[in-house]
Amino acid sequence: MHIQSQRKILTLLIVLLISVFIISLFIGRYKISISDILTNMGTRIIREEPINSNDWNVFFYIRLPRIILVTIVGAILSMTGATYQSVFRNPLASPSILGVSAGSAFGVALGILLNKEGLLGPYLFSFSFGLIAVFLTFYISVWSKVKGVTVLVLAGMAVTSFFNAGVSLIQYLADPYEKLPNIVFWLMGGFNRAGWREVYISLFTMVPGIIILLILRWHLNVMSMGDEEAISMGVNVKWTRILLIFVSTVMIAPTVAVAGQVTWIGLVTPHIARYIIGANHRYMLPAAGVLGGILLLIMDNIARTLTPSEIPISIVTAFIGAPFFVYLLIRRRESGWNQ
Amino acid sequence: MKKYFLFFIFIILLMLTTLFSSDFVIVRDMIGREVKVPLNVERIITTYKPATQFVFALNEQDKLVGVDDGSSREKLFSYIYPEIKNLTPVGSKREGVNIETIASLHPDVVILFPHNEAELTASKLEQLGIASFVINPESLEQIRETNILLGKVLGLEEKARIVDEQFENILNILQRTKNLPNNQKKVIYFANSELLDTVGEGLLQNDMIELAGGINPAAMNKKGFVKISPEQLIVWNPDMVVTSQLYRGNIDDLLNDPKYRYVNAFKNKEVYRFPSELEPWDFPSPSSYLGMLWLAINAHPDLFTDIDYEQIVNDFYYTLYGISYNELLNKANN
Repeated sequence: MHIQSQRKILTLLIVLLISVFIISLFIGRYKISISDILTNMGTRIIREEPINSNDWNVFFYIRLPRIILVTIVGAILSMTGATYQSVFRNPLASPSILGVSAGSAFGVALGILLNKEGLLGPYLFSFSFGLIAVFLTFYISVWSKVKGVTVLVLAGMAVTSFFNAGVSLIQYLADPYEKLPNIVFWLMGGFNRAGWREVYISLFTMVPGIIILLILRWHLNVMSMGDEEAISMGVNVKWTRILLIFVSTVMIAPTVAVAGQVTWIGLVTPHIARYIIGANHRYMLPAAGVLGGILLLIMDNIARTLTPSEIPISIVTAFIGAPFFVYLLIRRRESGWNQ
Repeated sequence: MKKYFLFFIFIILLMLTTLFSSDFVIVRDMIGREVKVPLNVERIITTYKPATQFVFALNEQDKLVGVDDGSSREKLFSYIYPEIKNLTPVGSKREGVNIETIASLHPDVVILFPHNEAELTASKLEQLGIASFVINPESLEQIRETNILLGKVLGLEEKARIVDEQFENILNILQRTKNLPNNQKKVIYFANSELLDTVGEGLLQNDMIELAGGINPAAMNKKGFVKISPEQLIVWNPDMVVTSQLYRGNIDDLLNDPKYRYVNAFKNKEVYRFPSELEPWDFPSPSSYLGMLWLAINAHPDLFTDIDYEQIVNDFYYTLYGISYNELLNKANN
């Protein structure tokens, strides 16, 4: 593929994301009049005073933060998915492979069990246990006698099942009337809790994370060729790998705390990006992020508008993601891994 | 070895006694099983909180020899009967019960939870010659049935009838709101432990809202528990929001949330938490009736000006547990 056409595709994707984003703002259970929002936006920019309109309220306090958050989470999941896939040279790697998702989920459950109310309780716990999980995974693989990258995936599986058992244990210990419904509600996943607070927290970890990932894109290219090649090209493989894993984890933890475990997006989107734009991370990584935003926005729109009740987001992502992945496996041999 | 042998012989004997003894009553439990229950029940095991509460309501708590894991931690039970802390835990509805633990306590009767393999558990107990019956107090009607059934099993029909009068009494008072025309009903939204987690059709809380002269906006949607988006709450625009006693968070924070500024309930500060600190009145239990009364009086205060609410609550507790509500509260606060 030519650089020219890759740039064109990326630009197209960005335009598509912006359109889907704007359309999403006007989809929902509550009917918003567009003219009302536009006039209110005008007055809001001119002078800072509360605007008395329910339409504006729904738009500004519910829909806008939710849609921003969905875009952020979609982008984070896909970009970290792409990062893992190249760091481990494993097309099946995804944010859950390292135990990050399970560790973060355990942290959330523990935070609720210990009654850590307020803003930072679940986030800090989610974050700390996500990190603990990923370092456990990492050090198990470092200390193991097995050579190669697969050991990391195996260690990740062990850590994942350990933390999932921890979540089950917490559910067993939790008061069935008081804390359990809350833990289940939280871990089921979904964006209906989303508000500006959640957006700020996610942005706080996402912006530096994405900048670092984009800076290290070239390393990702080199690392997906294999360790020897990477070392011969002057990349410090060990530390780059630790840094990439750390940064990805820091980004994923808040997404789990906000929306529970959102499945499939992190696994499938990088493959779609590779198919559309090629395996070069220079374009593939941003494309994966933009695509993740687009896909998760569409799925969350379905989750929040199809019925009066919210459909848990993972049901939607798995229903659309899994068949699509199968299609990729069967029809597309050139997903960037067989070259 | 000898011990096991003796235990085995004991089990055999136990089975034989159930075969040849005739001093039992036959009761149909709430999933339609026919159960032979010994006439003089002296040892009771309960396997989930509502079962324990119905035993308390008949003042038979001193016959309990085992309870579910959660019951011994319940405030209400420990104020009425502190000894509950020393009873053997036998499991729970969610995780299942330990059959061996139950057998080792030699109960005359085991009261089982509904669903969740109740029938399987019951048949396992039957093999050991232990009588067990399943209760299912999940609707207002079934709460009354459970109490009557338990009265039959424990040979306390008279006491059960007196308890039933308390339910009857509250239902009579609620005639005022039950048949209100739709234009006088209030839209009442119920929140569980989270604001956006509500109840659909077929759940007790939904029936409570309807009898209290309310319309549950989530009822037309689906059965069971329902998770909604904040937008949906604004679209429904309820006149009143009631949260479970176990709602995590505080009501003032809800009232200050700018999102819901224009929702009637929030605008008019009609956001309340279900009583009571002693036990949640919004859960399936005898006290659901009190919860319903509280809800009706809050939704339509002008219809109940002649009703002495406090008196009714005190009488209710006194009839069921032998101690008035205010006295229990005093105990709780000291």
